[in-house]
Amino acid sequence: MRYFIRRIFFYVIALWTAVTLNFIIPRLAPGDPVQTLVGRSQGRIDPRAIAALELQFGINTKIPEWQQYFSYLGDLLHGKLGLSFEYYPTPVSTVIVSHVFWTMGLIGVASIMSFILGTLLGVVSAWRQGSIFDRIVPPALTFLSSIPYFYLALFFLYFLGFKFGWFPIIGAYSFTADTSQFSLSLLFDVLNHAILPALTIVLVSLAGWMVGMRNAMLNTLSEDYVLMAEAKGLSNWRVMTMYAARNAILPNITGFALSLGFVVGGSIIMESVFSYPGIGFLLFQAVQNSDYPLIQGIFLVIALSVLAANFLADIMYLILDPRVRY
Amino acid sequence: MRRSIQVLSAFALAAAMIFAGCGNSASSSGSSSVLTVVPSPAGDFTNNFNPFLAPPQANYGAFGLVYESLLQINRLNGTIQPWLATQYQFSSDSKTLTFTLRQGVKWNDGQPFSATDVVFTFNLLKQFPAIDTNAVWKDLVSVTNSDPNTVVMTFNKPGLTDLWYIAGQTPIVPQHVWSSYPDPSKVTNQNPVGTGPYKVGSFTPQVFTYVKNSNYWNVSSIHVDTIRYPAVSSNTSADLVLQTGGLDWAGVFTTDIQTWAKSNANNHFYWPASNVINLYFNLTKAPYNDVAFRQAVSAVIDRQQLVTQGESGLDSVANPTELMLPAQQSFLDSQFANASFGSPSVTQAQTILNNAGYKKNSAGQYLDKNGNPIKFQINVVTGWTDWDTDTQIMAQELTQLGFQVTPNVISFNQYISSLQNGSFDAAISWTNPGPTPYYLFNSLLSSNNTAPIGQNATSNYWRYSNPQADQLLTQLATSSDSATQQQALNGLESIMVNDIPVIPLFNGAMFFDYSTARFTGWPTQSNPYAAPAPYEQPDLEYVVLNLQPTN
Repeated sequence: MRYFIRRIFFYVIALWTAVTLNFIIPRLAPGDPVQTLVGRSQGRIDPRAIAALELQFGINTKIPEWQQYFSYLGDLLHGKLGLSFEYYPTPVSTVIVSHVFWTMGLIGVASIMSFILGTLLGVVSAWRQGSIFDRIVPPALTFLSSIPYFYLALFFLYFLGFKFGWFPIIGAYSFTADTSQFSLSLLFDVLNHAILPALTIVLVSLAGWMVGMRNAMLNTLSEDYVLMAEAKGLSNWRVMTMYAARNAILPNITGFALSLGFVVGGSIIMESVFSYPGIGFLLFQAVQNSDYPLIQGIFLVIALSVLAANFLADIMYLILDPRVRY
Repeated sequence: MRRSIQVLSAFALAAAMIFAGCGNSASSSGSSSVLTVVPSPAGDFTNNFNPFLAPPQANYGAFGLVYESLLQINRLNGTIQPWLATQYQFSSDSKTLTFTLRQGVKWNDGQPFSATDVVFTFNLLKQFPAIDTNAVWKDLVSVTNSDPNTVVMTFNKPGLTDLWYIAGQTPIVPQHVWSSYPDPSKVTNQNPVGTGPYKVGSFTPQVFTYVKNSNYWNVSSIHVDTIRYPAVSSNTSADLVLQTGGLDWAGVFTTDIQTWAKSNANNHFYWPASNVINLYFNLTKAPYNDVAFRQAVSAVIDRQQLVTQGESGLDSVANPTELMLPAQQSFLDSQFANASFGSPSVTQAQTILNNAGYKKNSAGQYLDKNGNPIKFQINVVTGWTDWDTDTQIMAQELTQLGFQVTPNVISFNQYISSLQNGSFDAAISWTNPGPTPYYLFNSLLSSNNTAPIGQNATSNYWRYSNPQADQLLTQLATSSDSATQQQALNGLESIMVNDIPVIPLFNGAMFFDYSTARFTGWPTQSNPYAAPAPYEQPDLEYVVLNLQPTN
C-alpha cells in the first residue's frame, strides 16, 4: 500500500509539471499567432485583418502572465481547453475528439497486432533456437525496422497505392463514402484505407517485440524449472507457453503498457504520408500555425495518456510480479 | 504464420469487394455533374461555414458559393462585375457611396433579400470588430438604406480604395438568421443561409459537398450540380490525387506540374502572376539605406536563373515597376513600357559601387563607410525549398561581387517576427497585392504601415519612409479622376525604378490546376475572366458559374 501511495504522489507531481510546462513552452516560442497566420498566407490575407484576428484569438490582451497561468489552471479543472486558432471558433476539445478516434483505432489496433505477432514470433524463434526460422525471421524483421519509417511508408504508398493502385492513397475513407450512417460498405472502406498505414506500422515495430521476447525467453529456457517441466514429460506446447513464455513475457507486457500511452500521440510521419486524420498530423499542423491552444490541448492529452499508461504498467507489475509487493 | 495469412486473405477479400463497389458507383454517377476541388491542402475540415472567418478556419466556398458580395471584383486586373448590387456610384467628393441592389434575390431559405440585410451586415461588422477582417470601419462613418433597394455609405475620407473591401470582400448575411447569434465571431454557422448558387450538402471532416440552390437569382447559369471538397493534408498527397485524375480543380503547387499537364490532354495549368517576390533590405541600416548599394545588388542578380533554377521555370521575372504584367498592363506608365531588368552584370555593379565611393580591401571585399567589409545574411524560411534555392543563388552572386553574403535559413516564426520587428538585414519575401496596384504600393511603401525598429510593423517591414511616396499614395487613394490616378501611379512606378526601395525578383504565381475531362469553361490566359485559383473567395463562385459539364 505504501508503494501505491508513493506512486500516486509521484503522478500528481508529474501531472502538475506537465501542465505547467505546457503553459510555459508555447509562450517561449518566437512569433505571434496572428502575424503567423497573416504571414503564412503570403499576401492572401490583407494586413488590415490583424486587428480583427487579435480580437478573435484574444491575444495581446496585456493580462499579466501569472494571471493567465491561474485562469489556465482553472479552465483545465473545468475541462476547458479554449478555442483553436486554426479551426476558430471550434473548441480544442472538439477538434481533438474528432481526430483521436482515428489515431486510437488505427495505431491502437496496429500496436496490439504488432505486439501479439511479435511476441509469438519471439516465442517460436527462441523455442526453436538455431532453426532456419530463427536464423531468417529475426534478422529480416530487424532489417525492416531499421529502414527509416518515412522511406518505408513512402515506398508502400508509391508502389502499392499509386503505381499498382491496390490501396487508396489518401485519407481514412473515400470521398464518395456515405458517412451519415454506419454500413458494411463503409466499414470495408475504412478498413481498406487502414491497411497500408497499419501494415507499415506493424512491419517497423514487429522486430522490437520479437527480439525482446526472444531474449527473455532464451533466459527462462535455461532455468531449472523449465528443465524440470520437460523432465516431468509435459507436452512441448505446455512447457513453451505455461513455463517459459509466461515468465518471459513480463518485460514485454510492461513495455506494451507504456507504448499504449504513446498511441494517443499518434504518428506524425505516418499520418502525414497517408493524409490520415489523426492526432499526430493535427499536432504537426498546430505547431506550424502557432495554434497554441491546440498545441497545449494535444500535449495535455498525450501527457495524460502517457501517465495513465505508466500507472497501468505499475499496476500490472504489481499483479504479475509478486516480488514488488513485498 | 497461418494466422497472418488468414488476416491477409481477409483484407484481400475486403479490398476486392471495395473495388467492385467503386466500379459500380463510377458508372452510375454519370447523370449528375460533380466537381471535385482541392483549394489548398490543409488537412481535415471542421464543420464551420462562417463566411467572416478566413479558410481554413471556416471552409472554402462559405464566402462565394453560399454568401455573396455586392460586386465581383477581379483581384488580378480590377475589372468589376455587378453582383448583389447592380450599380454603385461615388459622390463627387468620393465620400458617399450608393449601391443599387438587385431585385428578386432570395436567401436559400426562401426569404427575400433586401437593403436591410446589407445595412445589418455592415453594422454587425461595426458591433463586432473581431469579424471586421477588412477593417472597413476604419474609414466608414455610416451605412443606411433609403429604400429597400438602395444602400448609402459615408466615409470619413474619400472611400475609393475601400470599394474593394466593402463590395468585393464582404459577405452579405441575412438579418433574420444572424441577428440571433450572440457573437458572430464565435459561430460555426453549420447550416448557412446565403444568397449564393450553392447550399451545404453533406459534411464530414474528410469530405463535404455543396449542392445547387434552386432559389438562386441566376439559376440558369448553374451547370455544376454538386461541388465536392475532399480533405488533403499535404502537397504531396494532393499531387498524388491530382496524378490519379481524381480532381477537377486544384490550387496546388507541385514542381512536376508540367509533366502532369503533358500526361493527359485534359490536364492543364494556368498560373497567372499574383504576387511579387522581392529581396528586401532593412532600410534603417547602412549601407542598405544607400540607393547605390541597392542598385548594385539589383544589377548583379540573375533573375532568370532564379526563375529557372529556384522556381522550376513556373514563375516569371518581375517588372522593375513592381506591376504584375500582363494583368496590370493598363496601369503601366508609358515611359516604362519597355522597362525590364537587363542581363546581370558584375562590371556594371562595380562601376555603380565605385562611383558611389565604395572601396575594396586587399581580399577584394567591398568596405562600408566605416572601413569594415560589407557582410550580411538573407533570411529565408526553412523548407520553402524554392526560396531556399533562390537565396543560395543570390548569396553566391553577391559574394562574387565582393560582399560577404550567406543565406540564413530559419523557422517561419523566427523569420516573420524578425521582419516585423525590424531585426533583420535582408530577406526574401512577398507583397500584399489587390485588384489595383494601389494596394501593393500602399502596403509596400506607405510610412503608415511601418513602425520603429523593435516594434511590429503592419506590412512595410523594410521601414521605407518617403514623404513623396506617401503623398502619391494619398493622391491615388483620394482622386476619382483617372488621369490624376495614373499620374500618381507614374510617380510611384518611378520611385520603384529609381529609388529601388525593394529589389523585385520574380512574380509569384497563383496556383490553378484544372482538368477539362469533366468540365470546360475555365479561365485561361487568353480569357482571364476571373482569378482562377480555387482558394480565392468569392472569385471561385464566378469561375464555377462559368463551368459546363462535358457530357
